[in-house]
Amino acid sequence: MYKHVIVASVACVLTITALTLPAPQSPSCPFPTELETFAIDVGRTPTIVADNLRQWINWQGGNSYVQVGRHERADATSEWAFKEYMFSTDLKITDVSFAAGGQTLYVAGIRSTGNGCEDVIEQWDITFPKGSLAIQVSPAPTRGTVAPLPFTSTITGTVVIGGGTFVSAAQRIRSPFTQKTVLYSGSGLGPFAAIEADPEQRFLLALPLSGSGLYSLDLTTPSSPPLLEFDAATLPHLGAVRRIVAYEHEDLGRFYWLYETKGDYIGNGCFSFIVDSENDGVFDASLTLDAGAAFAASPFHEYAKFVSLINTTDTDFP
Amino acid sequence: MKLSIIPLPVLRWTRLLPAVLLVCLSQTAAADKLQASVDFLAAVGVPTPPGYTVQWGPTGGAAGSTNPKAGEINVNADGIRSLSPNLEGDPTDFGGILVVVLYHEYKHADGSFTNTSEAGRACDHVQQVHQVAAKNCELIQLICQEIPGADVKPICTFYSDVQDGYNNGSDGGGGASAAHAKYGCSDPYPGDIPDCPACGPDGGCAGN
Repeated sequence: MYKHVIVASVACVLTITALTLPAPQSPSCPFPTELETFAIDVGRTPTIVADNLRQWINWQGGNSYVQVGRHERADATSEWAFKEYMFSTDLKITDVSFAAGGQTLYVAGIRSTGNGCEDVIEQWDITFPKGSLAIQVSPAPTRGTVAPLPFTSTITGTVVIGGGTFVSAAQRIRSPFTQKTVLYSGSGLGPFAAIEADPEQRFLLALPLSGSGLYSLDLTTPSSPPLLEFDAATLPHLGAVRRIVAYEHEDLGRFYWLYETKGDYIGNGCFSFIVDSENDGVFDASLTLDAGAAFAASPFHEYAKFVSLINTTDTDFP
Repeated sequence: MKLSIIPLPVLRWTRLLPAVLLVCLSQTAAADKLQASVDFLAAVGVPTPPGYTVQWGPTGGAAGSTNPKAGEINVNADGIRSLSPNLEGDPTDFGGILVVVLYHEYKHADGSFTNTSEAGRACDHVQQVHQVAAKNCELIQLICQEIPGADVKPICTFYSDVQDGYNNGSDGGGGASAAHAKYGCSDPYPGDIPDCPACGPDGGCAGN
């Protein structure tokens, strides 16, 4: 009898002690200073340029939100209306990429867990409120299948979400709905200095800050392990890279441009390029060029031959 | 307009030139608007930094970028369009946004703000964005003065957007002053960005 009372009392004391002790603190995850950004100016990334929908995204390295700015109008002759949306996260963001005209965001960052920190890459599928405009995108082909499809040709048109008629932003009732899917979480590989989505959403490129290698995540099979595309021996420049952007060139086909800064001032370093000339999702070559004369003499400097991957109405320069 | 920013010899013959150039901006094809914007800036005493070429560059990323090694300032047409969708609607507005973006890149290219390390870059931007905003306001005032009834709403909206981000931070969590303190910037904090008196409450020219 006494034994039961003692056990119960001890259990009770332990419970009370547990309740009165401060909750375990989540560790504060240090954010790499190399990935902090501060640029309140023109550093917004355009994600779609169509007759009746223009969109950009904005975020800062080390913060925990992504802004999405949308200019919309009912038709090509109506007045534009602007609406800004804010999406928050528990990640300290290191990079953001997009696909499907910005309706899908890919967000890399660092998260504090109960017993440590982890590097995370999430996919955010955003459904804007009923009556908003959205981009209709053809299904992605399988990686390894030749798919010489500029993103512009996979966009079949703008549609009104929920059907019916366009509703101006001021008259919409609901907020956007965001479905988040974890594509990667773990420690040891990251933090990720740069990510960039394949415009056809077959894979996501992910570059650890260490520059140990350039990896891809299979977007058709979430939670697949990262696949090494280029190691540091092949591309020693990877350790200096902070931004990756997908491009298409009339002669070269699809390629990815690897920059040393996230900002608009490029600095005095080098550029790397990885080429997938057939756009089959399999890379054919990589090279690193000095950002001066060597770059200027290369086909990657032929800007007039670049095809816009986000412009659905005009693929030429204005 | 604060005339002190324009060299006096330039002022004598440029009194009407900005108006002429702005009218040109509204009439030329988009491809020529870039050159017209370059000419406009030169006319108000801000020439292209020596050794640099201004051109339409690749899409993706920010509206403008500066590559000092190749000596080029690139403007991203899709970036401009997403910032200011009236690009095709009112070319004068497009010219205004182009001028603002170019002026920002000029301040990288002329050697004033060239840090790439994050702390240095942040400190550079605290100063640079403040300077560019002041210039932006002067340009808006100039447009309103020279073209009565001009629709400056997109540029005023852009100005107030930058002002809000600079003064408060985009998430309300501290803007430039917080960054200035965080990075221990050596130059004094230039202060918050004030309202631009040239912009009226409806976003158009004040007094219209």
